Amino acid sequence: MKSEDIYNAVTELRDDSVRAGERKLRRSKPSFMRRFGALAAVLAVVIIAGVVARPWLSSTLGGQTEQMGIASAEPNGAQLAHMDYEPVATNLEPTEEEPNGTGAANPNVVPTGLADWNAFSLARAAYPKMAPYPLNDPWHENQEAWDAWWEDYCALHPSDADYDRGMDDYLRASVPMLLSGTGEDNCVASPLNIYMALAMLAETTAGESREELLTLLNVPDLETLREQSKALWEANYCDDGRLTELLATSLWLRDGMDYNDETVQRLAEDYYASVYAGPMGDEAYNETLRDWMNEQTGHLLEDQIRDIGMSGDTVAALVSTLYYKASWGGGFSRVEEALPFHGPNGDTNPVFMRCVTEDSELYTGEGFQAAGTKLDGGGKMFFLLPDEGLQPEALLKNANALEFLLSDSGRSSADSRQVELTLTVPEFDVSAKLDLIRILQELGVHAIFEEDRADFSPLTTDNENPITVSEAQHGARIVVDEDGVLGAAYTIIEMSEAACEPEEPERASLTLDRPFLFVVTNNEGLPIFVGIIHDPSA
Amino acid sequence: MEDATIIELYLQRNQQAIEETAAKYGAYCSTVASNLLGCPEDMEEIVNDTWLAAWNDIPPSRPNCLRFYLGRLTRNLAISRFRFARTKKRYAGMVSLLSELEDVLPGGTNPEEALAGKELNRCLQDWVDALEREERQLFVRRYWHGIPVKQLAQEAGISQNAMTLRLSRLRRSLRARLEQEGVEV
Repeated sequence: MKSEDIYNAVTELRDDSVRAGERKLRRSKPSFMRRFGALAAVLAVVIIAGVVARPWLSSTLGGQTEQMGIASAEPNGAQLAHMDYEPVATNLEPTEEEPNGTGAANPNVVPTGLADWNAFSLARAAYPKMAPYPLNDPWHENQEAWDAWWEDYCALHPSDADYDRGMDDYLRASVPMLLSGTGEDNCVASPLNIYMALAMLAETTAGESREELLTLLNVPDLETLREQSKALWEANYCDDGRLTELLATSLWLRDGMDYNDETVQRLAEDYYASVYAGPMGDEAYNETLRDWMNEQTGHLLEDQIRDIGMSGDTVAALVSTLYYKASWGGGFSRVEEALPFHGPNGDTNPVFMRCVTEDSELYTGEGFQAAGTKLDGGGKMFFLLPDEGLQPEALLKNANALEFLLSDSGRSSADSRQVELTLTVPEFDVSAKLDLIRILQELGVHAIFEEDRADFSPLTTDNENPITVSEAQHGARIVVDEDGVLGAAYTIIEMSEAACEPEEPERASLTLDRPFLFVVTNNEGLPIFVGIIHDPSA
Repeated sequence: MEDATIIELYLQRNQQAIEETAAKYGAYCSTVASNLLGCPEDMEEIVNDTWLAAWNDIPPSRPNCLRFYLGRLTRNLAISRFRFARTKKRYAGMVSLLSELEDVLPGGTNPEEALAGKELNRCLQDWVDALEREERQLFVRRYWHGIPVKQLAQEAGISQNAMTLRLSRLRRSLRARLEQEGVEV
């Protein structure tokens, strides 16, 4: 390689990167050294060469698994490169000690690992440990801390990860369904969280049950789905104190029933699922399920989770969760004056916050204006304000707006101009609960709900009556204020034996003072949360 | 004239496209060429070659952003001119730019893990994306637009030495990233 190769690669930088270099540098202010220190810190971190995989150990599913008809196996070390499984000791008592170490070094991180370590546990996924981002060391006085963080970050987020293949079609199909049908209520959902649950569900099915799910997830086969899900999981997992994005999954089995070892093992290994077995319908077992869900969602969704429980008919339940916390990359501050929000039921007076950025993109599309703002850790939050007189739901039927909402390519191809932007946004805290059965049926998934068509043979054949999906529920909550974005989501899918009836420089400003859409994305533009705000005070 | 209209003229093979491009982007491309080569005598020739290259490339190309598309053509022509020049010393701008980029070349890595050209582009883009805004701005100003270090130091209100150090840190950071990705020597 020659320096000319680097020169040529620089030539091929994207337009938006090149545009960044059009503006003159800002003159340093007295506080320059401080700011530069922070920047240099970020850069110096990048100077660490080499990736050394953490010695996350592979181990076994052991202990009670044999009693439950699940054979112990030596998992493939490569497949478990980023995690370990800890066999459950007999009569293990939960302890105060944090078992998996997640967040041990970081007081902001949602605590995990206590609730899922108990008498019902068969195997517990231990999530990747990440060294904390040295937030308070902009001068790199502790180089070892920076080295440790960078090593862990690179191990989990390889830059060549290709995890969003086929996601566009899934998002285009599912997001309009997830965000419609709530009338004038606020709405929020996590398409990423639902994807993980549906991927696990596909693993437990065969025949047309599986085919319908693979079609919705837009993957040709299970092998591809496994690779994709694992890559998605890892690309979106971050727990370094700067960005907290924790994904977790679990599988809840019926005590005494025989399950297909290979499928259970697969869910544990490729989907990072913790596995439990207990008496279905038993209150202690349900309490464990709720504890696990509350732990993994930072107790943000307790109101919804308290109603969740498995019944005596349940054969198995699949759960996926997501917890997200990031501060703004820039700074929002509260607006002192009272501003009205023109909601569908009249004006309200939520708290507004404001951020002024010198060179921000203001996007203009057919029927909407939009702007984005950075979140620590590389993600962004975009706000789409429909033109006056237009409802947010109308934008979901507008191809350009939908592309903008769902993909980086949609955003980069949108008309935009660089402006000094004053972005005024109401603070909001919204949650929503969605019946996924109706949504899945509208998305073409039918067989898993029908006794004569559902095929769960990859999960178990130890059933007297046909197994169908009896419950599929998604819940999400997002809190947006001047500190940043805090969110959580869960998806639970229950399979039961009893058949059930499914239910149905230039300057510009953008003031979101009427109903709008939002999306929170990861560092490559993949939507983590999407939603509609009709009334931020609700 | 709007960029879309100019591009339409190219697509219709209307030679007015070149006149309009020269009128609108002549100064811009001249600055890029001048920054890169540091040789005002060749500037005009490079810029004229840019219009010809655009004429030959559109269609089939249909650039999203005409300004940066033309800037890229100018950069490509500048590096070609430098490559075939008998007296490279004449092009002081390019000599110093490439000399700085030498720092970025990674040390010993396994050739089997080397990145191909497209992967190098992606790796660089990822690295640029991860930079803080001001550092991204600085990197692109220096290494894409070719703005001299002295001018950048004046803009930032710091000494030339301090700016050199800042750029050097950026290059070391990029080098580390390329080594981590297994870019070939």
